[in-house]
Amino acid sequence: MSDNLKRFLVDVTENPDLKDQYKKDKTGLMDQYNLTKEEQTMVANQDLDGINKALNDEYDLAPNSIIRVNKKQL
Amino acid sequence: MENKGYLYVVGTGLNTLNHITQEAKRHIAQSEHVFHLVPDPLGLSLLKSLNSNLHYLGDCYALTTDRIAAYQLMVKRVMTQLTTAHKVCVVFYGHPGIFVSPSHALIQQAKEQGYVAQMLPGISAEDCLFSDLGIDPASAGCQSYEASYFLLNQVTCNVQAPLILWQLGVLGDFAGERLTCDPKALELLQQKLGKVYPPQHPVTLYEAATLSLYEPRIETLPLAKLTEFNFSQRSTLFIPACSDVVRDESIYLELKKHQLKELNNV
Ligand SMILES: C[S@@+](CC[C@H](N)C(=O)[O-])C[C@H]1O[C@@H](n2cnc3c(N)ncnc32)[C@H](O)[C@@H]1O
Repeated sequence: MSDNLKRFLVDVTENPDLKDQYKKDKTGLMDQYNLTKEEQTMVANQDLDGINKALNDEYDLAPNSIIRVNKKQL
Repeated sequence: MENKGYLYVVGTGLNTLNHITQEAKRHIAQSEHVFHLVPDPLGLSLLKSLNSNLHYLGDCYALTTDRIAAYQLMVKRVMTQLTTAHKVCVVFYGHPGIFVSPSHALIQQAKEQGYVAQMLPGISAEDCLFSDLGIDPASAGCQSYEASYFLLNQVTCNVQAPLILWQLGVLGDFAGERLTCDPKALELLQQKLGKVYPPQHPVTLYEAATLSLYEPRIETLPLAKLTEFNFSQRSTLFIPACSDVVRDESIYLELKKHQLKELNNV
Protein backbone atom coordinates (compact mmCIF):
# COMPACT_ATOMS: atom_id res chain seq x y z
CA MET A 1 0.00 0.00 0.00
CA SER A 2 1.45 3.33 -1.08
CA ASP A 3 0.94 5.89 1.69
CA ASN A 4 2.42 8.75 -0.34
CA LEU A 5 0.08 8.09 -3.25
CA LYS A 6 -2.89 7.92 -0.92
CA ARG A 7 -1.92 11.15 0.86
CA PHE A 8 -1.48 12.87 -2.51
CA LEU A 9 -4.91 11.79 -3.79
CA VAL A 10 -6.67 12.63 -0.53
CA ASP A 11 -5.03 16.07 -0.32
CA VAL A 12 -6.02 16.88 -3.90
CA THR A 13 -9.60 15.88 -3.03
CA GLU A 14 -9.68 18.06 0.04
CA ASN A 15 -7.84 21.04 -1.41
CA PRO A 16 -8.94 22.11 -4.92
CA ASP A 17 -5.98 24.55 -5.16
CA LEU A 18 -3.71 21.52 -5.31
CA LYS A 19 -5.58 20.31 -8.36
CA ASP A 20 -4.79 23.61 -10.11
CA GLN A 21 -1.18 23.24 -9.02
CA TYR A 22 -1.14 19.71 -10.48
CA LYS A 23 -2.47 20.98 -13.80
CA LYS A 24 0.30 23.59 -13.97
CA ASP A 25 3.17 21.38 -12.86
CA LYS A 26 2.34 17.69 -12.58
CA THR A 27 5.82 16.39 -11.86
CA GLY A 28 6.63 19.21 -9.44
CA LEU A 29 3.62 18.43 -7.24
CA MET A 30 4.08 14.67 -7.40
CA ASP A 31 7.76 15.09 -6.49
CA GLN A 32 6.69 17.07 -3.42
CA TYR A 33 4.71 13.98 -2.35
CA ASN A 34 7.66 11.70 -3.05
CA LEU A 35 5.75 9.62 -5.56
CA THR A 36 7.90 7.04 -7.29
CA LYS A 37 8.43 7.27 -11.05
CA GLU A 38 6.08 4.32 -11.48
CA GLU A 39 3.37 6.01 -9.42
CA GLN A 40 3.83 9.27 -11.32
CA THR A 41 3.37 7.48 -14.64
CA MET A 42 0.24 5.76 -13.34
CA VAL A 43 -1.24 9.05 -12.11
CA ALA A 44 -0.34 10.93 -15.31
CA ASN A 45 -1.84 8.16 -17.45
CA GLN A 46 -5.01 8.10 -15.35
CA ASP A 47 -4.43 4.39 -14.84
CA LEU A 48 -7.30 3.81 -12.38
CA ASP A 49 -6.80 0.07 -12.19
CA GLY A 50 -3.09 0.60 -11.45
CA ILE A 51 -3.90 3.16 -8.76
CA ASN A 52 -6.47 0.78 -7.26
CA LYS A 53 -3.85 -1.93 -7.07
CA ALA A 54 -1.21 0.36 -5.60
CA LEU A 55 -3.55 1.51 -2.84
CA ASN A 56 -4.98 -1.88 -1.99
CA ASP A 57 -2.76 -4.83 -1.49
CA GLU A 58 -5.37 -6.77 0.49
CA TYR A 59 -7.62 -7.75 -2.38
CA ASP A 60 -8.28 -6.98 -6.04
CA LEU A 61 -11.07 -4.49 -6.19
CA ALA A 62 -13.63 -5.48 -8.78
CA PRO A 63 -13.17 -2.79 -11.46
CA ASN A 64 -16.77 -1.75 -11.68
CA SER A 65 -18.01 -4.13 -9.05
CA ILE A 66 -21.58 -4.88 -9.45
CA ILE A 67 -23.53 -5.09 -12.66
CA ARG A 68 -27.27 -5.00 -12.84
CA VAL A 69 -28.88 -8.25 -13.87
CA ASN A 70 -32.46 -9.03 -14.65
CA LYS A 71 -34.41 -9.09 -11.40
CA LYS A 72 -36.04 -12.38 -12.30
CA GLN A 73 -32.64 -14.05 -12.34
CA LEU A 74 -31.88 -13.29 -8.72
CA MET B 1 -41.95 -6.84 20.46
CA GLU B 2 -38.29 -6.02 19.98
CA ASN B 3 -36.94 -5.77 16.44
CA LYS B 4 -34.95 -8.76 15.21
CA GLY B 5 -32.24 -6.53 13.80
CA TYR B 6 -31.47 -3.80 11.32
CA LEU B 7 -30.17 -3.84 7.77
CA TYR B 8 -29.03 -0.64 6.07
CA VAL B 9 -28.02 -0.57 2.41
CA VAL B 10 -26.07 2.59 1.63
CA GLY B 11 -24.15 4.14 -1.28
CA THR B 12 -20.85 5.96 -1.46
CA GLY B 13 -21.44 8.04 -4.60
CA LEU B 14 -18.85 7.71 -7.35
CA ASN B 15 -16.09 9.74 -5.75
CA THR B 16 -16.51 8.49 -2.21
CA LEU B 17 -14.58 11.12 -0.27
CA ASN B 18 -16.65 13.85 -1.88
CA HIS B 19 -19.99 12.12 -2.36
CA ILE B 20 -20.71 9.91 0.63
CA THR B 21 -23.57 11.21 2.77
CA GLN B 22 -23.37 11.93 6.50
CA GLU B 23 -26.19 9.42 6.99
CA ALA B 24 -24.31 6.65 5.19
CA LYS B 25 -21.15 7.37 7.21
CA ARG B 26 -23.10 7.14 10.47
CA HIS B 27 -24.60 3.78 9.56
CA ILE B 28 -21.22 2.41 8.48
CA ALA B 29 -19.64 3.57 11.73
CA GLN B 30 -22.43 2.27 13.95
CA SER B 31 -22.95 -1.19 12.44
CA GLU B 32 -21.53 -4.38 13.89
CA HIS B 33 -20.72 -5.70 10.43
CA VAL B 34 -20.12 -3.82 7.17
CA PHE B 35 -20.23 -5.66 3.84
CA HIS B 36 -18.92 -3.71 0.89
CA LEU B 37 -18.36 -3.68 -2.81
CA VAL B 38 -16.77 -0.32 -3.43
CA PRO B 39 -14.39 -0.04 -6.38
CA ASP B 40 -12.64 3.20 -5.49
CA PRO B 41 -9.52 2.84 -3.35
CA LEU B 42 -9.98 6.04 -1.40
CA GLY B 43 -13.50 4.89 -0.64
CA LEU B 44 -12.14 1.70 0.81
CA SER B 45 -9.70 3.65 3.00
CA LEU B 46 -12.59 5.72 4.31
CA LEU B 47 -14.60 2.59 5.13
CA LYS B 48 -11.61 1.19 6.99
CA SER B 49 -11.32 4.35 9.05
CA LEU B 50 -15.02 4.17 9.98
CA ASN B 51 -15.35 0.51 10.88
CA SER B 52 -12.82 -2.26 11.39
CA ASN B 53 -15.32 -5.06 10.88
CA LEU B 54 -15.38 -4.97 7.08
CA HIS B 55 -16.28 -7.87 4.82
CA TYR B 56 -15.44 -7.60 1.13
CA LEU B 57 -18.09 -9.03 -1.20
CA GLY B 58 -15.91 -8.94 -4.32
CA ASP B 59 -14.58 -12.45 -3.73
CA CYS B 60 -18.07 -13.79 -4.47
CA TYR B 61 -17.20 -13.34 -8.15
CA ALA B 62 -14.25 -15.68 -7.88
CA LEU B 63 -16.26 -18.24 -5.92
CA THR B 64 -19.02 -18.54 -8.50
CA THR B 65 -19.30 -19.23 -12.21
CA ASP B 66 -21.37 -16.21 -13.24
CA ARG B 67 -22.51 -12.90 -11.84
CA ILE B 68 -26.03 -14.05 -11.03
CA ALA B 69 -24.64 -16.76 -8.77
CA ALA B 70 -22.22 -14.20 -7.30
CA TYR B 71 -25.09 -11.90 -6.36
CA GLN B 72 -27.02 -14.76 -4.82
CA LEU B 73 -23.98 -15.59 -2.72
CA MET B 74 -23.67 -11.96 -1.61
CA VAL B 75 -27.29 -11.92 -0.49
CA LYS B 76 -26.84 -15.22 1.33
CA ARG B 77 -23.76 -13.99 3.18
CA VAL B 78 -25.40 -10.82 4.40
CA MET B 79 -28.62 -12.58 5.39
CA THR B 80 -26.65 -15.19 7.34
CA GLN B 81 -24.80 -12.48 9.25
CA LEU B 82 -28.06 -10.71 9.99
CA THR B 83 -29.31 -13.70 11.98
CA THR B 84 -26.58 -13.15 14.58
CA ALA B 85 -25.98 -9.38 14.46
CA HIS B 86 -28.11 -6.50 15.63
CA LYS B 87 -27.10 -4.07 12.91
CA VAL B 88 -25.57 -4.80 9.52
CA CYS B 89 -24.68 -2.30 6.83
CA VAL B 90 -24.05 -3.07 3.16
CA VAL B 91 -22.20 -0.55 1.03
CA PHE B 92 -22.30 -0.25 -2.77
CA TYR B 93 -20.93 2.52 -4.92
CA GLY B 94 -23.09 5.24 -6.44
CA HIS B 95 -26.70 4.98 -5.37
CA PRO B 96 -27.07 1.51 -3.84
CA GLY B 97 -30.40 0.87 -5.54
CA ILE B 98 -29.55 2.02 -9.06
CA PHE B 99 -28.47 -0.83 -11.34
CA VAL B 100 -27.56 -3.01 -8.39
CA SER B 101 -29.47 -6.27 -8.16
CA PRO B 102 -28.48 -7.68 -4.74
CA SER B 103 -29.35 -4.49 -2.86
CA HIS B 104 -33.04 -4.75 -3.71
CA ALA B 105 -33.05 -8.50 -3.11
CA LEU B 106 -31.52 -7.90 0.33
CA ILE B 107 -34.07 -5.30 1.39
CA GLN B 108 -36.91 -7.52 0.24
CA GLN B 109 -35.65 -10.66 1.97
CA ALA B 110 -34.78 -8.85 5.17
CA LYS B 111 -38.25 -7.31 5.39
CA GLU B 112 -39.90 -10.64 4.63
CA GLN B 113 -37.94 -12.19 7.50
CA GLY B 114 -38.99 -9.51 9.96
CA TYR B 115 -35.92 -7.28 10.06
CA VAL B 116 -36.00 -3.51 9.78
CA ALA B 117 -34.45 -2.82 6.38
CA GLN B 118 -33.79 0.50 4.75
CA MET B 119 -32.03 1.66 1.61
CA LEU B 120 -30.47 5.12 1.73
CA PRO B 121 -29.95 7.24 -1.39
CA GLY B 122 -26.53 8.03 -2.80
CA ILE B 123 -25.14 10.07 -5.69
CA SER B 124 -25.46 8.00 -8.87
CA ALA B 125 -23.65 8.11 -12.20
CA GLU B 126 -26.77 9.72 -13.64
CA ASP B 127 -26.63 12.50 -11.04
CA CYS B 128 -23.03 13.19 -12.04
CA LEU B 129 -24.01 13.12 -15.72
CA PHE B 130 -26.71 15.75 -15.14
CA SER B 131 -24.10 18.00 -13.53
CA ASP B 132 -21.22 17.42 -15.93
CA LEU B 133 -23.25 17.55 -19.14
CA GLY B 134 -25.54 20.33 -17.90
CA ILE B 135 -28.76 18.38 -18.39
CA ASP B 136 -31.97 19.19 -16.55
CA PRO B 137 -34.62 16.50 -16.98
CA ALA B 138 -37.24 19.18 -16.39
CA SER B 139 -36.56 20.58 -19.87
CA ALA B 140 -37.64 17.62 -21.97
CA GLY B 141 -37.95 14.63 -19.64
CA CYS B 142 -35.43 11.80 -19.64
CA GLN B 143 -35.29 8.08 -20.43
CA SER B 144 -32.84 5.78 -18.75
CA TYR B 145 -32.27 2.15 -19.78
CA GLU B 146 -29.81 -0.62 -19.22
CA ALA B 147 -28.18 -0.82 -22.68
CA SER B 148 -28.60 -4.58 -23.24
CA TYR B 149 -32.21 -4.41 -22.06
CA PHE B 150 -32.80 -1.55 -24.51
CA LEU B 151 -31.17 -3.52 -27.33
CA LEU B 152 -32.83 -6.86 -26.69
CA ASN B 153 -36.37 -5.62 -26.13
CA GLN B 154 -38.86 -3.74 -28.26
CA VAL B 155 -38.54 -0.52 -26.34
CA THR B 156 -40.40 2.51 -27.64
CA CYS B 157 -37.73 5.15 -27.77
CA ASN B 158 -38.98 8.71 -27.31
CA VAL B 159 -36.76 10.93 -29.47
CA GLN B 160 -38.28 14.03 -27.90
CA ALA B 161 -36.48 13.29 -24.63
CA PRO B 162 -32.81 12.56 -23.93
CA LEU B 163 -31.84 8.89 -23.70
CA ILE B 164 -29.35 7.52 -21.19
CA LEU B 165 -27.97 4.01 -21.72
CA TRP B 166 -26.09 2.27 -18.90
CA GLN B 167 -23.64 -0.60 -18.85
CA LEU B 168 -22.17 -0.24 -22.33
CA GLY B 169 -19.15 -2.07 -20.94
CA VAL B 170 -21.14 -5.33 -20.89
CA LEU B 171 -23.40 -4.68 -23.86
CA GLY B 172 -24.88 -7.88 -25.26
CA ASP B 173 -24.78 -9.72 -21.94
CA PHE B 174 -27.50 -12.38 -21.65
CA ALA B 175 -26.24 -14.65 -18.94
CA GLY B 176 -24.31 -12.43 -16.55
CA GLU B 177 -21.03 -13.74 -17.90
CA ARG B 178 -19.64 -11.02 -20.20
CA LEU B 179 -17.20 -8.45 -18.90
CA THR B 180 -16.69 -6.62 -22.19
CA CYS B 181 -18.81 -4.92 -24.81
CA ASP B 182 -19.75 -7.34 -27.60
CA PRO B 183 -18.81 -5.54 -30.89
CA LYS B 184 -21.68 -7.22 -32.72
CA ALA B 185 -24.13 -5.98 -30.08
CA LEU B 186 -22.72 -2.48 -30.49
CA GLU B 187 -23.24 -2.66 -34.23
CA LEU B 188 -26.84 -3.77 -33.67
CA LEU B 189 -27.37 -0.97 -31.15
CA GLN B 190 -26.14 1.54 -33.71
CA GLN B 191 -28.59 0.13 -36.26
CA LYS B 192 -31.44 0.21 -33.77
CA LEU B 193 -30.74 3.82 -32.80
CA GLY B 194 -30.29 4.66 -36.50
CA LYS B 195 -33.94 3.82 -37.10
CA VAL B 196 -35.03 6.78 -34.96
CA TYR B 197 -32.06 9.19 -34.89
CA PRO B 198 -30.26 10.67 -37.91
CA PRO B 199 -26.68 9.40 -38.54
CA GLN B 200 -25.20 12.80 -37.64
CA HIS B 201 -27.01 12.95 -34.29
CA PRO B 202 -24.44 13.40 -31.50
CA VAL B 203 -23.93 10.63 -28.95
CA THR B 204 -21.77 11.16 -25.88
CA LEU B 205 -19.71 8.64 -23.96
CA TYR B 206 -19.66 9.78 -20.36
CA GLU B 207 -17.54 8.71 -17.41
CA ALA B 208 -17.70 10.67 -14.17
CA ALA B 209 -14.40 11.28 -12.44
CA THR B 210 -13.96 8.86 -9.56
CA LEU B 211 -10.88 10.68 -8.28
CA SER B 212 -10.96 14.45 -7.80
CA LEU B 213 -7.64 14.81 -9.58
CA TYR B 214 -9.24 13.98 -12.91
CA GLU B 215 -11.85 15.48 -15.18
CA PRO B 216 -14.81 13.44 -16.38
CA ARG B 217 -14.34 11.58 -19.67
CA ILE B 218 -16.72 13.18 -22.18
CA GLU B 219 -16.40 12.16 -25.82
CA THR B 220 -18.94 12.99 -28.51
CA LEU B 221 -19.28 11.37 -31.93
CA PRO B 222 -22.03 11.25 -34.54
CA LEU B 223 -24.26 8.20 -34.15
CA ALA B 224 -22.81 6.82 -37.40
CA LYS B 225 -19.50 6.38 -35.54
CA LEU B 226 -20.90 4.81 -32.35
CA THR B 227 -18.85 1.66 -32.87
CA GLU B 228 -15.63 3.69 -32.67
CA PHE B 229 -16.06 4.39 -28.97
CA ASN B 230 -13.80 2.50 -26.63
CA PHE B 231 -16.24 1.70 -23.82
CA SER B 232 -15.03 0.78 -20.35
CA GLN B 233 -16.88 -0.69 -17.38
CA ARG B 234 -17.57 2.89 -16.31
CA SER B 235 -19.12 4.12 -19.55
CA THR B 236 -22.61 5.53 -19.83
CA LEU B 237 -24.03 6.78 -23.13
CA PHE B 238 -25.99 10.00 -23.45
CA ILE B 239 -28.11 10.79 -26.50
CA PRO B 240 -29.84 14.16 -26.60
CA ALA B 241 -33.38 14.61 -27.91
CA CYS B 242 -33.61 15.05 -31.64
CA SER B 243 -36.98 16.66 -32.08
CA ASP B 244 -38.98 19.25 -30.17
CA VAL B 245 -42.24 18.44 -28.48
CA VAL B 246 -45.40 19.84 -29.98
CA ARG B 247 -47.90 21.38 -27.63
CA ASP B 248 -51.14 19.47 -27.13
CA GLU B 249 -53.42 22.31 -28.28
CA SER B 250 -56.70 20.75 -27.21
CA ILE B 251 -55.59 20.26 -23.61
CA TYR B 252 -53.86 23.63 -23.56
CA LEU B 253 -57.01 25.45 -24.74
CA GLU B 254 -59.30 23.52 -22.40
CA LEU B 255 -57.14 24.28 -19.38
CA LYS B 256 -56.73 27.91 -20.38
CA LYS B 257 -60.51 28.30 -20.76
CA HIS B 258 -61.04 26.68 -17.35
CA GLN B 259 -58.53 28.92 -15.63
CA LEU B 260 -59.97 32.07 -17.25
CA LYS B 261 -63.43 31.05 -16.06
CA GLU B 262 -62.09 30.54 -12.53
CA LEU B 263 -60.48 33.97 -12.64
CA ASN B 264 -63.74 35.59 -13.78
CA ASN B 265 -65.64 33.91 -10.95
CA VAL B 266 -63.38 35.37 -8.24
C1 LIG C 1 -23.82 -1.68 -12.04
S1 LIG C 1 -24.10 -0.05 -12.51
C2 LIG C 1 -23.86 0.76 -10.97
C3 LIG C 1 -24.42 2.14 -10.93
C4 LIG C 1 -24.26 2.80 -9.59
N1 LIG C 1 -24.95 2.08 -8.56
C5 LIG C 1 -24.75 4.24 -9.62
O1 LIG C 1 -25.57 4.60 -8.78
O2 LIG C 1 -24.30 5.01 -10.46
C6 LIG C 1 -22.68 0.23 -13.47
C7 LIG C 1 -22.95 1.24 -14.55
O3 LIG C 1 -23.02 2.53 -13.96
C8 LIG C 1 -22.47 3.47 -14.84
N2 LIG C 1 -21.26 4.01 -14.22
C9 LIG C 1 -20.49 3.46 -13.26
N3 LIG C 1 -19.43 4.25 -12.98
C10 LIG C 1 -19.57 5.34 -13.78
C11 LIG C 1 -18.83 6.52 -13.97
N4 LIG C 1 -17.71 6.74 -13.29
N5 LIG C 1 -19.28 7.40 -14.88
C12 LIG C 1 -20.39 7.20 -15.60
N6 LIG C 1 -21.14 6.11 -15.47
C13 LIG C 1 -20.75 5.19 -14.57
C14 LIG C 1 -22.10 2.73 -16.13
O4 LIG C 1 -23.20 2.79 -17.02
C15 LIG C 1 -21.86 1.35 -15.60
O5 LIG C 1 -21.99 0.38 -16.60
